[in-house]
Amino acid sequence: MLALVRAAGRALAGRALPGASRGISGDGGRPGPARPGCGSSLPLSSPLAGLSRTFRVREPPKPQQVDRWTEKRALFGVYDNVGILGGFQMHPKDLIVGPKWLRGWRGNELQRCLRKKKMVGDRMFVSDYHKLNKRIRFLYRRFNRTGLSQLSSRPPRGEPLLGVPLPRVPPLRVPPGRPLT
Amino acid sequence: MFRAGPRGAAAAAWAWARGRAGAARVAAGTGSGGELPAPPPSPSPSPSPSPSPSPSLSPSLSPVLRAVGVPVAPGGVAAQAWLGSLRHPAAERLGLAELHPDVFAVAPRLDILHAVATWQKNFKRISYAKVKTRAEVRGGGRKPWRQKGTGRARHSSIRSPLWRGGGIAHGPRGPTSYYYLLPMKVRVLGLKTALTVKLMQDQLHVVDNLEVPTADPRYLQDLARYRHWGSSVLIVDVDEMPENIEKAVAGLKTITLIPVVGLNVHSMLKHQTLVLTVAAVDFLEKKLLWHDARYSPLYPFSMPYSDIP
Repeated sequence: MLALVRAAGRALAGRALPGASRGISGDGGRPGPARPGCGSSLPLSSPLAGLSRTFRVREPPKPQQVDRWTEKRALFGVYDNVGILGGFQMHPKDLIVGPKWLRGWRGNELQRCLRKKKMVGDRMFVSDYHKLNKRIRFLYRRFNRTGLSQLSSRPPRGEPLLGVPLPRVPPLRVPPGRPLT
Repeated sequence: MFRAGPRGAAAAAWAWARGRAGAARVAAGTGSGGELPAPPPSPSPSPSPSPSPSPSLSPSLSPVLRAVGVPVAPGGVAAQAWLGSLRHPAAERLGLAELHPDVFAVAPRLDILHAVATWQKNFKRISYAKVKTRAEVRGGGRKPWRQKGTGRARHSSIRSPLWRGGGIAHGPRGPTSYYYLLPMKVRVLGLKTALTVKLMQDQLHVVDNLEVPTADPRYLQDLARYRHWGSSVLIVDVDEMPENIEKAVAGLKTITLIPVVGLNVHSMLKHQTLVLTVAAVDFLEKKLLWHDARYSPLYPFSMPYSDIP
């Protein structure tokens, strides 16, 4: 009777394939006691054998095998000295593959946006062009109008440039009838 | 520059025993060998030489098969490397090739090697990482709730960086380029330093030409294993390469064949052994030595100059 129940339980619980992996947590996550002979694939030596609830213990990922000798990696750097060794007819910046406004050129974000607008602005989508203009406007103001460097050179509003208030000169009064010489 | 190897190993053995100074005298002097002292009559561990060796060394018996093309400055001694052949695995040491000291015996500047290798890695790099700012994320124009009275924190847009789904404040912006150039003379010195380091670590081999008996890739692998070249070989030749070696190398991963124009520090450091043909050595010496004594450019070098090699 008990053997029949056990067999039924094994059949019901036997969702795993015959060749299931036998990790530390066995099948991982299935409720029920983790008994070696009762449908669970846990070996007796596992620390979770016999515990009432199994939970999934994730193993660290296996180190990925990187092939260091693919064609790209074996030929990396070839023709970087094409100028020096090739009579200066080509320049290494001609080898760079990338967006047209970045080949052989480097700049900060504002400079990149301006160069992109200059070189490919007329080909861009309307919404992208609009966003680019907004970004240029924002960056220009951020770089050129904010920060401590601006505070020291810009005079505060309401005071004259020299920082000293000038004496107030009364207006010239001309008596009537008498011409100015 | 290439001459036939010495007739007998015994005849050559005593000539090689004279050492580098004698060989330099042969190279620095005229084409024909000058007067050289006879070998010592005392018994030597090597097998006894031929019965009557001539005191003057004729060019046909000299071990130096390739002399330096560009004249060496007075006081400089040429570096030497074995000249071999790829036709047979045992043809490893047919003679000596002399190499210009200002290209193959410069000071081992590891900092320059590092700078040039880093430049090669980074100057081509374009990073395409880009995230949207709060202005670019879709939505977020309306104030989510009124400023006061709701009890919640005050916000003006649902796409501010504080919100989930909002823009990123200081993220990567757009394709970024990392291009820069080291001075030309630094890049030239990097090449010279890499060649020097390869020679001094016994990882540089000079070969007369790239003729190989078969197009079988296994022949090259066996050759590299027999000659203890290591796990990776970089073979360099000028322009036209024989079909056999091109086909052989096409099937191999760790043996690379490049023209001289493609020589660079990164490849030299990546491959364990460097194999140069005599023509490639001539080419390199001519191109790299010009920078030691050139004027600064008044106009770009891409325009005609009278003295560019």
